[in-house]
Amino acid sequence: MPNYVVEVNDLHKVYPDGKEALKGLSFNVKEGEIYGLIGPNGAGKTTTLRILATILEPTSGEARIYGYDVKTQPEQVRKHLSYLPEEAGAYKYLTGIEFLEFIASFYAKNEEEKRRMIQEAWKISGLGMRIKDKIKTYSKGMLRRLLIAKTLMVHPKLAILDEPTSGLDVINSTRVRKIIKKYTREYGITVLLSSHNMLEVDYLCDRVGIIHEGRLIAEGTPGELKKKYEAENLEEVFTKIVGGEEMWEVIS
Amino acid sequence: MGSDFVIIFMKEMKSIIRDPKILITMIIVPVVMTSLMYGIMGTMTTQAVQQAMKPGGKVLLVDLDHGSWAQNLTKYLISEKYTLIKYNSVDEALKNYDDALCVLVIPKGFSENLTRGVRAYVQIYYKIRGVSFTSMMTGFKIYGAINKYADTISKEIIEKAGLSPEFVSSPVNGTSNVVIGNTIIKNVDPSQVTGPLLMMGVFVPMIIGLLAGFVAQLSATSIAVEKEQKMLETLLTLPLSRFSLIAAKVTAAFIVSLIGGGAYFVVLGWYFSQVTSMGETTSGGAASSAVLSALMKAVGMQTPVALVVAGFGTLFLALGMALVLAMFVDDVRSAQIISGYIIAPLMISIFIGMFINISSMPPAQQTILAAIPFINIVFIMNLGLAGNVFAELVAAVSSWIYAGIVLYIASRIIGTEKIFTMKLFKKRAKRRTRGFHLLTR
Repeated sequence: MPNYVVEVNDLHKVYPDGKEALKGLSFNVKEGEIYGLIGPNGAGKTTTLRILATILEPTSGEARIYGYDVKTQPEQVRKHLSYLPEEAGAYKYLTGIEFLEFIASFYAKNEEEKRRMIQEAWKISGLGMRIKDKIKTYSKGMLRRLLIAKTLMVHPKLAILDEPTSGLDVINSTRVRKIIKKYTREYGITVLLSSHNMLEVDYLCDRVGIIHEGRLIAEGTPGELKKKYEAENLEEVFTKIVGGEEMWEVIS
Repeated sequence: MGSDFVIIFMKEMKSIIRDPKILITMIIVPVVMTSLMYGIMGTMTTQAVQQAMKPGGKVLLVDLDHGSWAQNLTKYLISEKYTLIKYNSVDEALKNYDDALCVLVIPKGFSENLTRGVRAYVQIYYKIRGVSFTSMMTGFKIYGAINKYADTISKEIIEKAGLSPEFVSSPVNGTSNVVIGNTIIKNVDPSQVTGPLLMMGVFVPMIIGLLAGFVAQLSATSIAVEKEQKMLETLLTLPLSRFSLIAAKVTAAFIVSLIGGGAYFVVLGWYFSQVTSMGETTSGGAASSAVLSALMKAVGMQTPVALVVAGFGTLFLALGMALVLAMFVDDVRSAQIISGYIIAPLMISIFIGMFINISSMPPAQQTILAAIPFINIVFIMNLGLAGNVFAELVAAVSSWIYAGIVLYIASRIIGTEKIFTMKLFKKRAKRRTRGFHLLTR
């Protein structure tokens, strides 16, 4: 039995155009915790999540999920995770319910379980009767809620959420955060998420990893980080660590 | 729960049927519009020909001869249900043309010429009043009536001279026999044999080429749709085999193309049968089926079988190639463009193949050419005629080998990150602001 759900050791990723996205990233995620990866644009957050979701292959280093290597055992890895990409979409010409049914069919062991998943997703999404409309008629917020619902309804052992509240207004964002917290606690789902929203990270995450230029430069609980960097909030921690204050000075 | 293949396949079918981009560009425009066009053309052509073949109509007659043969011609036209309205001059007749078929002028000396055994002439004035297929064909039918009359009197003249009209009209005649390989098909017109041969050697490969175009476009679109609708990342992290994903997409594209293409060719076939069967008799059809069975005996049953096998292999090859190329584009429009890169060389290959006389080449050369994809479907009929069964086998098997290789490559690519990191059409790089966003929302 592995000690961690996610184990990342000295991970490197170089894209075909020569861009080095990850330069020896290492971190672990414990069972049942919500771990947040934060960092400026281009820090390597999405690349990390894509490698863990078996979409990209690491150039070197090791990444394991429940002990399975993402590079050599991707089929095993996929059985344990549910992934929400930052720029995810859905099939426009399916209805919300048909889309959920499509996703649930890959995870459910029987019809009853499939029905349970769909009912739960319907509730999570809060779409009401609009669930029976074609997805092309949904607003951005409705689509994101549907996608959150499809990610959580399968009760994955690990949910990888890339910017879960991306594009949502304050009310929808708050709702989605509450849903994530409630469902992950209720079903013991481990979550690895990335976000630019420090309020979100502070509210949701048990531990936070700050990533900059492909490396982990700080890690700890939000409280530990605030204490260590003598900051009032995570936003201040972040700017202190990645040098944002200097940038603001230059701009002003 | 359920097979991955079935789940993806059902989703594909729903998406194809509901997506207007696919439905309009792939099904409605080529199938419905073309069917409608051919349907209208076929019906109108049939009606026009039937109208033209129906005897009778109004003819304005200017009889300047008034002799016995002129009266004979007049009586003949009346017996053929033509309504004759007499005028004294061409000008007068033309002024009163209205809905007449033509103005028929029997010039002075018409009867005298015929009596003396000299060729006589009539003049026909046909007034063009518009561009209409029906009116033009109807107007020209008077020429048929005059020719028929000429045949009748020719027969009478020959009989009066104590000769046989059949003998005089064709004193020497030949019966043709066609030899294919070791088989001799007796008493058959070569055109009756070349017709089915052209059908198998040219028409069928062209149908396969067009179908391959349908298949390539649909399969390329089905992959591009995943990227365009931002579903590919999600799809590739689901617990399903990449092979099932490819197989389901391929099958859906194939079935829809076959339905679409099938409907298209049913209408096309109906149109051609309508046009070609005008005036054809039942005995002609029976003769053709006899020729066809003799032909099959001559080339062997392996030839049509090889053609069908190689045809399906070619379809899967085009499909696989389109899939591979579509993996490196981001949207449906690029996928449609890229499928053109397959369709164009495919159709050019088929056309080139039609001008290569493979039958006259040595067997080894025939076998090498039979292994060239796309073009080999045109060669199969000629290989059958040349009796090179091995080359036919090579054509059929090689098409499937190529298809298998390409589909394997497709499933390998979709299993790697190349589907995300490789691009055929690079987008103009956006200026990206370095740094980070203000982190409150």
